Amino acid sequence: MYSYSLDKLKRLTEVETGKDIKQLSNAQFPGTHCPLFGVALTAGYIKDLFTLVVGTDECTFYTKTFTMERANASGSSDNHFLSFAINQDDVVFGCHDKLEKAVLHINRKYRPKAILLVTTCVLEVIGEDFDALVYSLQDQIQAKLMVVRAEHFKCHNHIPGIERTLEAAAGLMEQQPVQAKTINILGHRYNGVEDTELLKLLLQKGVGINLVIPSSCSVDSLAAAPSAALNIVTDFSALPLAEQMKTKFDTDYVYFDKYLNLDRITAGYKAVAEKLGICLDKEILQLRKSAEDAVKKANNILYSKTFIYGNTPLLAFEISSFLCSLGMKPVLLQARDLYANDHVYIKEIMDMGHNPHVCRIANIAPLQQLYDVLQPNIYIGHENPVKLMEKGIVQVTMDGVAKKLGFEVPILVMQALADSVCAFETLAGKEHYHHAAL
Amino acid sequence: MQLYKYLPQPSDRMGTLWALATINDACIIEYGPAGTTHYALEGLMQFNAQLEARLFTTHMDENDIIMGDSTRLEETIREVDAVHNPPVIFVLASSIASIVGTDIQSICENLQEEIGAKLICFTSGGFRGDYTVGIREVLTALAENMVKAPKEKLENRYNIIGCNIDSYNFAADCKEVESIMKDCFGFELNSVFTANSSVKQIEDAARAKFNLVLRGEGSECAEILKERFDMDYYIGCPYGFRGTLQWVRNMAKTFSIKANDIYLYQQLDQGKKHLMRINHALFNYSNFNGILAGSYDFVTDIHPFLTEEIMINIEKVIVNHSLRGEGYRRPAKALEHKLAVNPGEEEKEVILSKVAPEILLGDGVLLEMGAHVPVRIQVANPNPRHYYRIYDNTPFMGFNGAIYLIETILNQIHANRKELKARF
Repeated sequence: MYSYSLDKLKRLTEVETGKDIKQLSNAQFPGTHCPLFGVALTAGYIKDLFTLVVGTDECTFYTKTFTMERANASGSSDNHFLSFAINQDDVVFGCHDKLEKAVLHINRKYRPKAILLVTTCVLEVIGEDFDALVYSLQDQIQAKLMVVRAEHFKCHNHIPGIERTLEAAAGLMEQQPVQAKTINILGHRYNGVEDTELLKLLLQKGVGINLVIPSSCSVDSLAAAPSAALNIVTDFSALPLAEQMKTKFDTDYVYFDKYLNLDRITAGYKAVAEKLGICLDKEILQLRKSAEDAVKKANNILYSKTFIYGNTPLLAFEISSFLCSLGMKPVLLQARDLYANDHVYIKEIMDMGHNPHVCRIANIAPLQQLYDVLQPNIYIGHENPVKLMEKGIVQVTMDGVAKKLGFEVPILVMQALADSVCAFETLAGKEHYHHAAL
Repeated sequence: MQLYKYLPQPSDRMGTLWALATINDACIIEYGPAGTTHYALEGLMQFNAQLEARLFTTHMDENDIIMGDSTRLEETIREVDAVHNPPVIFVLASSIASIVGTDIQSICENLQEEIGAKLICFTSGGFRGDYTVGIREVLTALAENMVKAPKEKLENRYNIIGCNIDSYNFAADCKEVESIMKDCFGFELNSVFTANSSVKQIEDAARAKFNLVLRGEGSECAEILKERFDMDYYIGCPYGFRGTLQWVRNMAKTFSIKANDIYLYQQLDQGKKHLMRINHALFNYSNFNGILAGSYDFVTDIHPFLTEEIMINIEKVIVNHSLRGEGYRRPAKALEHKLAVNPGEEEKEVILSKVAPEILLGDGVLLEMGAHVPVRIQVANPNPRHYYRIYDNTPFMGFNGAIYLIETILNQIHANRKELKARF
């Protein structure tokens, strides 16, 4: 029988660029999402923004289905997602004139404040000139036109779609007088940011939230985004937007992702406090103490446990580095790509004496053949729970941690890991399986 | 205008994948960017269907496009063949592969000798028409390339052609047809093209005596099987009491088989009281008019039940796709002038406004567009609200389907009676 081999993969010490993260197999299942999905995930949050997806029937149909389903689930309306479905003639002759008419029609019918034009694979292959389209139309209509390119053949996943949509939002911003002690949160794609540890603390100290981009903003309010004294970037996908705002509006930023490393969280808090001119020393000490206590508890249970990292809302190498610091041993790490600061986290893992294999995410089938070789105690991320149980592997998913920021992130992660391991050991030998989900 | 506020028409490529996805033991390889496959996979959820085949993507990068390098596809085919040892691998072109002119047909022909699985390719890439074109292509290709000469003929067996997951109620309807064939004729189901089927079942299709075709897109498939294996076929679906009785009679005549008259009498007798109940309920409302929407075969066959038995004044009938290809039966005179084939969104809005219906029986998008209509019942896809249809004893077809639809309509009328125009 044909078997997959870890030899196809590189080890962590050999990973220098995204291209070093290899697939275990040529045939991929289910494969990664494309940037168009990233756009759909992000643009729908921006109130009053019209999005026109230009692509094949397939790209437009599935994007619209996704946004309708999402809108139904949240009780909102997705009527601002429109589609221009190209046909064979458009592939041969281009569709500039038709698109002009479509945009003018949208402008007339809906009177939108802004339209995000989204190109897809086929449009990028045939070289349809969207910049020219914007140039020729912008003076004729009151809606602000922006373009986001969402082709998938130049990247490996949906993240560029999120990054580019957020960057496009900068096109709606205008220079403003800066309000002291106000912040924007960049990159948070969930409701309830004010319930996070970070924001609760800042709100207590009198810091005001100007905007949460994209999850709580509108076309109009985005104009006032530069009035914030500080941007706090809570997801790496918003770093390009933060850079743009720094360049265009001189808005300073702190990158404070969903870290697990206690020193990084402390440094993040201190940087925010310093830039806002507030003191958080006492609170940081107190919160850190709780996290350190949690580390001590988790250490006893998790020490020497081996793990495969799959997919969570956290940074692949950052969480892996943290788990190594608890004495856990990585046997394989799955990653989308290499992102900001990943080289730092990778070095930390290597400095702790680990050199696991690294492979690209979203291709589970061949990996399943290798569980007997890798023999992990824990699988972190989504997988078939029954298959993992059969192999005696504890599964821990961490979707709920996406809404957290600060020391609450590592506390919750350690709790989930420890609880799952204990529950699994208790249940071992019984005829039911267990998996923990945050 | 190719601009859509709701959903564009699904493409032939989407139809191809929908028809193939439910064939157990088959492998499908898509040559294109991975996101296309991932999206398609999630798209299956709205159909209440499981992915039974093994679906893979090769992904594709700039080098593949610029250099026309198809090594990635060749290696993936070899790998899937070696790992899974499937009887068949379906190779699908993505829109990008199709545009850059990747010759998937030649690649498969050249590889076939070294590959254990039979390679069957679909090269359209999504530009050849709507989803019905893709479904037709799959059904035809299966009849041409997969069905094997039978070692033995099974007298009391039949196949169903054209039960596919894009039909809103495919699982329950298939079960109902199976039940009628068993109770009325004593016949057993042999193979289904293609919902919840398998490579083996399709390979063995020619063992059956005849084919029941539930959609026009299956007509070429049935013709090929007739030509290759002398299998007779009948096109049509059983809806309503009279419609099901007629379907049974046509079946008996076409295939020279004897129907169970006692069974038929019992079913019709039961139906009478339910019809009286809904006729009585509708009499309370003045001009209970409606719009019906769905696939051509569905609306054609269910229209007489709704208008002549239930007595709903169906004023307009929308067909949700183009009518390309052979096998679509001529509409009855009563239906002909009501048909709107594949109208655009704006046209649908005009229809809704002109008819001002009391009831909508249609797809999920039409129901969204007509959110103000008092009685709205989803009977077709798309299914944007992802309504579950897990329980497979709720058919639209057959005698039980007629009763179930009556019950559904009665409940909806009762729930929304304040919004309906009373006759008195």
